[in-house]
Amino acid sequence: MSGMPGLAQRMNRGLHDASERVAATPFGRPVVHAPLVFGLLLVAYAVQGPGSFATYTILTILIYGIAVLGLNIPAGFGGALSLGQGASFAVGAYTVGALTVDNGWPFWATLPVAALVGLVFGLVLGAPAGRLGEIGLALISLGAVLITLDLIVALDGITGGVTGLSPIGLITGFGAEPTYSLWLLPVLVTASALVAYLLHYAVRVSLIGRSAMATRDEPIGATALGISGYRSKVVTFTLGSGFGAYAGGLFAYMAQYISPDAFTAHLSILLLAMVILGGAGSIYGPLLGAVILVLLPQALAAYAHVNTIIYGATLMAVVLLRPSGLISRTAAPVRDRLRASADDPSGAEEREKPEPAAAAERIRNAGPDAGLQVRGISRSFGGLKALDSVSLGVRPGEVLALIGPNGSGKTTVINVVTGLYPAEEGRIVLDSEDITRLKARRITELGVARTFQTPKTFPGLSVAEHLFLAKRLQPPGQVVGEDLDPWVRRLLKLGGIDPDDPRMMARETGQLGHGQLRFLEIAMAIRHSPRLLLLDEPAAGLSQIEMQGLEQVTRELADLGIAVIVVEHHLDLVTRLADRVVVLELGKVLWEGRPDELMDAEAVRVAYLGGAG
Amino acid sequence: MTDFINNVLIPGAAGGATAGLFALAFVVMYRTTGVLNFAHGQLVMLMPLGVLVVSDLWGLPVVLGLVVAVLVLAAVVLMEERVAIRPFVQSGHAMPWILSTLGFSVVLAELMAIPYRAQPVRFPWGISAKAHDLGGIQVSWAEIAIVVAFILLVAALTIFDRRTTTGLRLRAVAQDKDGAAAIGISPGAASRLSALIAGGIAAITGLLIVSTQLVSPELGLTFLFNGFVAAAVGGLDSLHGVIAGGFIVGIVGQTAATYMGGNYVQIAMFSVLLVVYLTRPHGLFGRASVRAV
Repeated sequence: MSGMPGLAQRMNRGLHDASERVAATPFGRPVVHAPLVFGLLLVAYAVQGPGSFATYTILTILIYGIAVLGLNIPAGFGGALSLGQGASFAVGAYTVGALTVDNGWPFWATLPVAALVGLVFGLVLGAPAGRLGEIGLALISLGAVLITLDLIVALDGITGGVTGLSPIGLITGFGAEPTYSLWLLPVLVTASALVAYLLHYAVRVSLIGRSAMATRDEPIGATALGISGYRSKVVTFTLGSGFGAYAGGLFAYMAQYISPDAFTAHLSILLLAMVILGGAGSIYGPLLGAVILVLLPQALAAYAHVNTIIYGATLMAVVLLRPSGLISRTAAPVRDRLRASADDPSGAEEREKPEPAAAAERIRNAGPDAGLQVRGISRSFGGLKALDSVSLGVRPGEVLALIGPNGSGKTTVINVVTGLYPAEEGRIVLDSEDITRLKARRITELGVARTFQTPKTFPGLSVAEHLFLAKRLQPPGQVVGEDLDPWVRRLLKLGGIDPDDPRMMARETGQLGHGQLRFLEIAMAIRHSPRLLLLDEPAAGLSQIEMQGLEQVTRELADLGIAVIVVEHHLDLVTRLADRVVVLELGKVLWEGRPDELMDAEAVRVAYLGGAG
Repeated sequence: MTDFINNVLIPGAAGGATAGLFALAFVVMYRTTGVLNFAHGQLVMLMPLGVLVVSDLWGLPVVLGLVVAVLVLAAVVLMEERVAIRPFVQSGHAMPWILSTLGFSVVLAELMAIPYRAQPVRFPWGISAKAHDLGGIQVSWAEIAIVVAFILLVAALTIFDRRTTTGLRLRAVAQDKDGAAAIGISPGAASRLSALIAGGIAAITGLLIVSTQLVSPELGLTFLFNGFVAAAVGGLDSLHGVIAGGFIVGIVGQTAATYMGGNYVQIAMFSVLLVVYLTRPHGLFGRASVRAV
């Protein structure tokens, strides 16, 4: 085993780079490669014959492919492990089967109904399951497969029970006889797979897809961007089930006979294995998984035991050696660009200094209740009183530094203000609106942005996708009306991320360093155009130059009328940047005043700097 | 009333003990490793199959069969722990170990299918499942044995957990893998020991359930699922919780089977799981983890 990790790592690195390069070519775009590849399949059918074994094999791959693309939506994008895609597959197959055998419906009516039934099935299951953790969801979805099988047997009036349903022919019109054309099924399946592939891609680049990925990678960071993890779980689960049921419907037409034996839990496991092997969350990896796990057993069909053993060993090998699957790249392109890049990339942002007059005017005219008012908030963890009746406030245009020894409650203030932990006592008022009882997501939507002590970014998403997710939250009626893109660009550059380099912007943040992530996170917070900005130890781990840049940008943002709270340990930075300082100790406000008076305050010296001096 | 006892209570208790024994093994593993072993069904069948191969196919004494089967089971458990569980101990992600233990179960089931060509076989040395009449109440030795064994095993493991240093060490790993490692308790050794204990539970479970089950490499996912439900009801990290979890699963399942029919057992199980997850996500006796940012 000793040489393995190094080898596996190099292999993994190489595969990832390769997929990054492919994604950068025009061929990497689904609208370019998908029609090409699927068109070639039609040629293959013509060469091999539409009723040949080769065609049958391709159709099997495509039908499983549709189901695994569907499964990739909740399991890959959403990280919601489902052992139940086979249940949706069965539901779709039986919908088509029953409508065809019992009612003589044509395929263009049965398949949409199957997809619809699949969506409803997914919603009914996903609504409670979306509240569960990973294990809970796995067990519930496994249970769903078992009860679906039992229900198929129990409802034998419709489903034919254990004997099953047949013949399921492709009927082209109500009252018509099943078609004898050998071409209809291959064309139908291939066209469906093409549409499914493009739809799957559309879901990935949609707000839902990106939100699901963000929740998968870093749930708390996603909440800080105003994303509802529950909603994206339920939606992705529902969509995935729709894909699964449609694929099941096609399967019924291909098999012409269905019985419960075809839909055991092993099918669900196989579908999940295809997704993981190919690359969960990647755009075409799951299809690759379907190709491999359909062809491999065929190639080994002659060796009965070996075949199954290799399948089991593959499951173990993939999670041991390459847990992200063969195609590990999960980032997807973003259309929307940062402003001020087209006209003059060199000095555009330099010219966009804040307009002091307008901003200063806005700050001056702000009412007495403008900004954040925290009044007597308390919060305990078990027996520990982390915050004990803390009051503080910050006005638009002001930078408030929050300092204090470790464990004094600085971060807890931020967590309580942003709604991550509810306050047990006291009130929090933002621009005269009481936000004490609001959910974290709602508070974000009101224009409160924050960063974390360790950046909570999303390793599987590209830099551009991060900025996209931050932007869409721009709430209406902001105090700061300015377009902050120039500052976003400056922050990125400070972190060593060139916003005009498409390859850099397309890079997954899992590949970035600490400083880059820290500036990216602050840039995201700004992009969401906040009226209150909470920075939790932004300078930790930064170089002197980076720190100076950060200081300058923060000052400028405040001058635009943003209220800023900075939790910081670098006292020199605090002294230069802050308008006011609040010192916390053991959950209480120990001292409050101007930064230049800080060093003279006896109480602060004793508590914070230690010793009686 | 007698009907209820005979049709629901007694078979429900026996079924509950079966689910509870599965749950007990899951909990023992889960507490130290954070892994639920999807190959446990095969481990349960390995013991009786081993005895059958040695004593039925090869015609050697049953005692020898038991010894060989125990050794094979231990070896398989250690191998599984090394390749499919250890790499994912307390990793916080379920996807990898679900696939690795499922993969292991696929390989193991296929190997176990070789001696009898995948045919289910009767186990001739099991405890008698013949019902005896005790004043109108029908009960078999097999039913009594599995319920008693279940309760004794839970009691023994609870005492081991609370009263011995080794139990304390396992709990330390369960609470904080890195913290335990820092004070010299090896998470790897803890994982191995837990796997062996779970393997021991599998051996006992296997010898008990073959009174009513044929020996086959595919025990079926329903056993596994009922065990998961019992563990989730009691709390995935609670040893004594499996008593409540097991018997709730057994009685609810048997009630559904008796009054609605066999096809509704899993639906009843599923409902129990859903209700527990939505009302008490950590189970009746499980502890909620403290949220940390």
